[in-house]
This record gives sequence, structure tokens and C-alpha cells, in this order.
Amino acid sequence: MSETAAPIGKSGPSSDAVLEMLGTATLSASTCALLTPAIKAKLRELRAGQILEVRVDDLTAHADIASWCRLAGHELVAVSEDTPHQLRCYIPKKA
Amino acid sequence: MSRLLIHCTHGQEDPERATLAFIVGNVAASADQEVVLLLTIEGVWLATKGYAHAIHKEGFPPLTDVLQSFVSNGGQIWACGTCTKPRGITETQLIEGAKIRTAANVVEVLAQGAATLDF
Repeated sequence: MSETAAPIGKSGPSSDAVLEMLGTATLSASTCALLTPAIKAKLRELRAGQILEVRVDDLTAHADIASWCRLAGHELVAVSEDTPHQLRCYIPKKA
Repeated sequence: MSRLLIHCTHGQEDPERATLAFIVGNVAASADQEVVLLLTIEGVWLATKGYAHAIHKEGFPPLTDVLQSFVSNGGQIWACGTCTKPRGITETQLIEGAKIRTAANVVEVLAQGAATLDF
């Protein structure tokens, strides 16, 4: 079982929708509890191939999203860094 | 794909365990995993209408929200028949997505290789 996550770059692809989950670092359970179900709900609004950009500021989110993508069959194609604690994760909706 | 069986034995007397079971179950369901939330002992009350509204552990999302999301993502809720009967709980009292299931139903899923996690 691979646990590697996409490397963090300086930029990502253009996105078709944005999900902001900022400020979650102050709520202990929020990222773990809410982030990936929220991604699932947002992806339902997209067509196959459209890219969802997820903005997060919790250090656990990168690995959380990578793991969820492997489970759900989505690909985390890129991760970019806005600031040291704010990431953008790019997920195309699977066919 | 084998099933995941998340087992919860707690209700209002332990809001953190009750909520966490559904958080993990909801993450699994949202990742398209086949997941059953097995409720036993005091946990069977979670399958009844209105009971979860009173459960909101500080720092956690309200249990009702997580529970509704779990069901809408395709998760199944099984209330242990051995535990519902002495508590007077019947099918008519259950929330949408919940069913009373027997020990044999549970053993069958386990024998088929379900992975389990207990709360």
C-alpha cells in the first residue's frame, strides 16, 4: 500500500470549482471529520474530467486528501503552496 | 471490495465515541467503500428517530449532520436485534437507512472478510 502524496509545487492547473476549508486548524476534529466528505459532495456537482481545487490550511489535510483519493479512485494531480500553511489540492472528477 | 464494519456500543452517555464512529464511517462511505455501522448495546439508540439530535461533542460536528451525510453517501446502519428488543425498539422507530439485523447477519459479514473497527 502506497502512502506517498503528490509533491508540493508552486502552481497547479486551472480549476473548474473551488472548495475552501480554511480555518479548520483551530477545530481539532474538523479536517478529519469534514474535509473528505465535503470533497465528495463538491465533486458530485462537477462533470467527469472537471477539476476541483481544494484550499486547506491544516497540515494533516495533504495526506488526508491523498489517502481519500486512493480509496475513492480519484487522482490528486497537483498540490501547490500559497503560504507555508495554505495548500491548494487539485482533483479531477473521475469518469 | 470487502465491507468495512464500524462497531459502536455508545449513545448519549459517550458523545465522543458515538460521533467518532459515524465520522469514520462517513469518510469511508464518501470514499465509495461499502460500509456498515453496527450499533450494539446503548449504541442502538442512535438508530432511533430524534435520539441523535441531543448529541454534539465540543469540537466535533453535530452527530445528526454526520449521520445524515453517512446515509446519503450510501452507508448502512445496522441495529443489533438482540440489543433493540430488551430496550423496546422496533423497526417503526428507526431512522431512514437503519435496519434491525441479527447476530447471524453480522457473523456472515465477518466470515466474508469484513474489516472492523470498534468504538
